[in-house]
Amino acid sequence: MSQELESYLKLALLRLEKAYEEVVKTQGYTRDTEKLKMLLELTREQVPNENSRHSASQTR
Amino acid sequence: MKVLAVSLLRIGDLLMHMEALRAYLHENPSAEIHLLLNDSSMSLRSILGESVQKVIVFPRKELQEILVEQNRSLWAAFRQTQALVTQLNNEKYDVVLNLTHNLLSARLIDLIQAPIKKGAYFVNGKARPADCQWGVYFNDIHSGAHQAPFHYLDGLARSLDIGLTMNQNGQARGSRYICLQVLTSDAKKNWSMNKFSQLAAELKEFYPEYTFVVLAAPFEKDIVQSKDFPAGVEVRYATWVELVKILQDTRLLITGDTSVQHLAAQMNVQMLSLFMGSANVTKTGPRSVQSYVVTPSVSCYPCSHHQSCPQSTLKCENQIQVHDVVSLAKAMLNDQAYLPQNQNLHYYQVQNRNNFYFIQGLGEEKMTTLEREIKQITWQFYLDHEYENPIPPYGTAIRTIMQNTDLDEISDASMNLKIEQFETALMWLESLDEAAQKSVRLCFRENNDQISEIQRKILETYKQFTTANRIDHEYIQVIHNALTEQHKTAFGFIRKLKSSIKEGMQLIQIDLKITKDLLNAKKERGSYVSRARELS
Repeated sequence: MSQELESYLKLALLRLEKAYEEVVKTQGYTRDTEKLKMLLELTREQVPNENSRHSASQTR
Repeated sequence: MKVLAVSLLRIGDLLMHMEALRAYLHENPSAEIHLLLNDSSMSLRSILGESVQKVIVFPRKELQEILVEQNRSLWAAFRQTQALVTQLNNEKYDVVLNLTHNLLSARLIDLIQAPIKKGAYFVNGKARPADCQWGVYFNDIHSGAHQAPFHYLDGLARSLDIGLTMNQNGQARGSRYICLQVLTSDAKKNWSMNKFSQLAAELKEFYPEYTFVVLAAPFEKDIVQSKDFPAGVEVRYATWVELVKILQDTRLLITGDTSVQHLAAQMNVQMLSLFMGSANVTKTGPRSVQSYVVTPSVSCYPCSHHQSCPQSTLKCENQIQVHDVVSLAKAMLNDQAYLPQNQNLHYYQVQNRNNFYFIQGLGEEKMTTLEREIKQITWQFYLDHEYENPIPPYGTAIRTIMQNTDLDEISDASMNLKIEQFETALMWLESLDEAAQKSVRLCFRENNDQISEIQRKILETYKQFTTANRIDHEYIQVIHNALTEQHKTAFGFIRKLKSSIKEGMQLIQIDLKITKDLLNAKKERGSYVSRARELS
């Protein structure tokens, strides 16, 4: 993974985390916050950390 | 009964998941299966067969693009997620099966309404405990870097309560092709194309009656085109549909790629897999009885899936030579037993043990094979709750060992040595546990210098211990992982270490107990076997 993409992904994680915190502050836990959590996981899978193993690769 | 199966991993995983789904359908013939898969896996749609009635796309690529592009609003991704969840809930599923087993899928399933959910899922944003022991085990073993005694698919299927079986119908015998899948999805798992070319040339001389086919995906054309293959060797840039057609008439497939391997295994094609890099023979080998796998013996194999090879040259690739593969392929094509010639390599034959995938090492010491079998059978015995049954003491599991293994060929001395090693390892773990306990106290005092010193000593002791006692690293692999992984805080390090010590001790205690019992069973073989026969 290029460093540029990695930094974009880390930025996306920060944006999502901030959005999640804002929603939780105003609405508490809802199904919408769970959707944001899901998007966070989706982004984490792409960053080379412990969750990255499940990223999808190119196929036939 | 409407069932949603969630498969959001790679293409090779999806191919394995299809095998589990077919087994599920066999047990639940009235199930109408809908499959949720990644947009990047849609090329497989054409070969999914009749088991799947509807395919729903998870727009992974699109969502990820929206999320990384700074000029796009996060809410576009949010709305798309919302649309997907609404679409899924409109289907009103009776059952949701999580074949993916990761955080993404667990959270997605939290958002889907269904009376029955199986596998990992969250409830109102919180993780819930697994339904069965297999679920706990699968989560512990396959989510980490531990050595698993079971194939990934065996563990996953049991965690979902799906009764998977190994195919016992024997090998398909296509008569037309010998296929070479020359590339994999990862450079560290590739055997060089020059070697594949040489392999084709040598085999062609012995087997002119077959058409030799180099297989590659259409998008790999530029890479494969630049290589020369011997005259008469066909190069096919096959789509999945074309690949299925070719495999139907294939006598032998030689491959390093696990996706093609899983597909061929389900079609019962005989194959020779070349496993390098992160390709793990125990976790993701070919589930096709009598297939063979060759692996290197370099200490860094198998490596992590996440990183590229840190070595200056690909040691794995260098170790597997063309003549090694030629001699094994010839034995397979001639239906002959194979005696390994290169001591630097490991050779395995895939077998069926109690409907579980099992790898029999060729030319390895009997005790090594038995040890692998004990480990698998013991866990099976424990996870299936067989210990709750009265007699025989180790149920069907120990009977399988007795039936498959000639215990007389294994010396008492080697078993006693193993018991001694287990006991030494246990003693060492107890002392390590005490050291960790001291460190916990220091953590509370926030004395980082002392903690670093203790960590250094623990690592040093570990190295000395493993060198002096020659303990098989597999048994204390969990400790090794805890010691070598990076942890942000001293407390994190100790916490991880302590849980790993506990896990390591449990593993060793189980192995110790069953080895002792096996030794006793060996001594009383006559009466034991007759007792087992009475009960079988």
